[in-house]
Amino acid sequence: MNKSRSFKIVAAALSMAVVLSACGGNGGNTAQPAPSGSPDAAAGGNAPAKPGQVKELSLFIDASWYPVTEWKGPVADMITEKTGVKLKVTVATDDKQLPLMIASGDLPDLVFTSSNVDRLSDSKLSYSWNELIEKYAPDFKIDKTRIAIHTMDDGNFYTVRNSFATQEEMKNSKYSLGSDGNPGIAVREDILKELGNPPIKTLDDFVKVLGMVKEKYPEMVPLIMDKDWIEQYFLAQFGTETLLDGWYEQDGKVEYAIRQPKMLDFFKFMNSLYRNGYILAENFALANDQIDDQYATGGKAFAHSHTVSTADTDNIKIKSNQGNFSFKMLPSVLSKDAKVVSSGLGFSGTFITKKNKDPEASIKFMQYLASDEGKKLTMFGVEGVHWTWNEEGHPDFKYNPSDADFVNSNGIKWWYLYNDGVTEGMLSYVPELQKTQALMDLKSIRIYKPEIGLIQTQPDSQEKTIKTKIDEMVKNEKVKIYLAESEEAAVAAYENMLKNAENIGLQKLTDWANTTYQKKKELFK
Amino acid sequence: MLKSQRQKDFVFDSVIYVVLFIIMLTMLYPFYYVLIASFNKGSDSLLGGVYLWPRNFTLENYRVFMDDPKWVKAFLVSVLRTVSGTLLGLLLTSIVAYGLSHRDLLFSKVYFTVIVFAMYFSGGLIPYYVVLRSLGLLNSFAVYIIPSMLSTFFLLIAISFFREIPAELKESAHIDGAGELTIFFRIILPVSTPVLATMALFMGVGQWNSWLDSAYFVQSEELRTLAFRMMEVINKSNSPMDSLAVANSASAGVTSFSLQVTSMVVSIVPIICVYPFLQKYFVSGIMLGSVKG
Repeated sequence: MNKSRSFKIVAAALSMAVVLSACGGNGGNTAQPAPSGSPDAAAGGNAPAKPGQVKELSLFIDASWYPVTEWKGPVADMITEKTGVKLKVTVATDDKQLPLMIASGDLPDLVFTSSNVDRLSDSKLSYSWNELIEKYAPDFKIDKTRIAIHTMDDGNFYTVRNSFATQEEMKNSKYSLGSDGNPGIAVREDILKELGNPPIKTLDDFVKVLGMVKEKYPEMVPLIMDKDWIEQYFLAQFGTETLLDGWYEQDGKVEYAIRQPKMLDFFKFMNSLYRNGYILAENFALANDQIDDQYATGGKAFAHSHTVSTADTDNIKIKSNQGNFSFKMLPSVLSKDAKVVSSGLGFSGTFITKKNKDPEASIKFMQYLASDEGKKLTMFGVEGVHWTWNEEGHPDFKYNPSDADFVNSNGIKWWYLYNDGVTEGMLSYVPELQKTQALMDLKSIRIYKPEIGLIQTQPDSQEKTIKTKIDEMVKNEKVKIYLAESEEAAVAAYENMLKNAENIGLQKLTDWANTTYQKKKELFK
Repeated sequence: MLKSQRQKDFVFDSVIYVVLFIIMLTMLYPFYYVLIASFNKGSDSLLGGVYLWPRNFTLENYRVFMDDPKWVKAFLVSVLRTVSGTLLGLLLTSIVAYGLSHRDLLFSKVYFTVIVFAMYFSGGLIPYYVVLRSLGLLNSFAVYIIPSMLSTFFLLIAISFFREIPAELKESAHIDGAGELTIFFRIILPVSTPVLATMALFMGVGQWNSWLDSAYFVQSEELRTLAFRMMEVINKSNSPMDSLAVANSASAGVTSFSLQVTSMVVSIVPIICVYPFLQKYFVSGIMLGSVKG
């Protein structure tokens, strides 16, 4: 009896202890949080480097897809040799990891991010570059435009994004062309020949040829479009200066894309393609971005709308499938109105966090990467080994820049913690590829307006909600316009879309955008 | 009369079998498709039309996948965490559940309230991370084992199972002079194999598939698990390479899709192999005849 009572009490005490600990409660736990210098910190080992030795800094890359995960290879070795810094790299597993580190205060020495630039541009989390430059690297010069883009409300800038170029820089570099992510249309060479090689110099010419194809090859789809590259090529030809979810500027004021007067012409054009049977209705419902490729490389389509490298890519696939036809690119400019506005601000920036154990070495490391030598080393590889400089003003590569395996395994390009769009754009200059010409055409009609890119709605703001709702609505309504049964119906659907946008709060959004735009423009003066 | 009844039964059974067969196919076919796609040349899979067996058989996907010595290490870490995590989890959960299953336990209402509360509400990722840090568990193998040793969900299941065990079993053991530990280890656990096997299976699968803790709470490359490496492959294959690069690597036969399905096969197969060995314990009626009236 006694025994059983004492057992109950012991059992009760034991259970109580276990249950309380199972709760994960930290009551009464006085253990000190691990200092950031301990191996337990998310930043990894942060032991200060001994003088005269190579310093190791921890770097967190906030991009789960990042192809390089270790600081190794000839490019990394050369950067270490030049700067005395090597990096201990951690690549994010998902997009929640960095916010977790920020919230818990466990930050590494350096963070490279694109989606958390605003969040890390905060004096509590990161050192501002202007103070570090002033203190440790007074000869590190950054141009005004980049500083303007990254200056926060507190007057400091905390990073400079890579992959950005100004109009001036691009103009001065003939061979810097930009990336693969530009729209292009490829057409079947053999079929053009059978049609008697009709010239395609304008949009009307192109539409005429689509008509000929439909007539002569009724079983073929005249134009197939990648699900992510439906509008861009044609928007550029109409000179709308914006995609469907962006801003365009006129006489110092900004307006939302769908209000652009040329938009209606664009929608009428797309609708006419559908009504004439040149595009498929189901093209707007494709969920997979490989279906269009199968149409093109399987010989079921005459024209393929995708990127500037469509012809090159399709031809590689056709060859490996033992096909006997080939694609060639249409000119990137098919109208006198054609225009492309680049409002991009760059891709990712590096932050020197407040946990950084050697801000001086860090800013000097960035300074080296920002030098002409550093930019070329990062982007092209080791001079003499991977490339030689051509006096014309571009690198002659000793490898194929499209060979991802070679590029990734040598760490070429991906250590661009500081770089620019000019150097990066030279990777695209491969004279024997069709995409090179397509990019050159596009370059001739591109204007740079980074101040428009600074019109960014903030998370959880009212503007963001309105913009998200409008973009979602446009996504659904645009297909109704494309697939309208007559031009009148298309115009009515377009007007209905505008009305919907007004009802959601387009005017309010536009007013906010103009206020922001004026404020941001000041930074560039 | 009887005949038509039989006919009705036959028709009814046939319909049930057909429906069940269709359901089985819809469950199994995705697995099968992933398996054949992993043995098919990646660039060939892109063309579509691979449904029943590999059209262009290759082991290249597996070769590319296993080229990295990190895999072997990750596999060992996963095996170790699965085995030790499951065993320790079973031990602690069953001990606690047995203690709580006594109906005359003092303050039992309080314990149950706390358990149910802990089951439905959690502090969220950031407080959890901070707790792990203050316990010094970050970046250690223990972070895989200790936090998951006691699952409130399994605790409740085990408690209700232990309560089903006739009290006479314990009483008779008491009379024979057995202490509490002897009763627990030599009488209660042996008759509890169904619930232990069920818990072991779920805990094991959970441990095997867990990648989040390896991603968030561990930085050492030595401690990465297999599931984490899978995530790495899947993440990397989402790399926005330009389409030319994709076409170039596709001509070598391996595509991001073929790598993804290969990683699925590698992660699914070991845990599927464990299942048959546990299945024999899922037997009801184990207590039949244990108490004579």
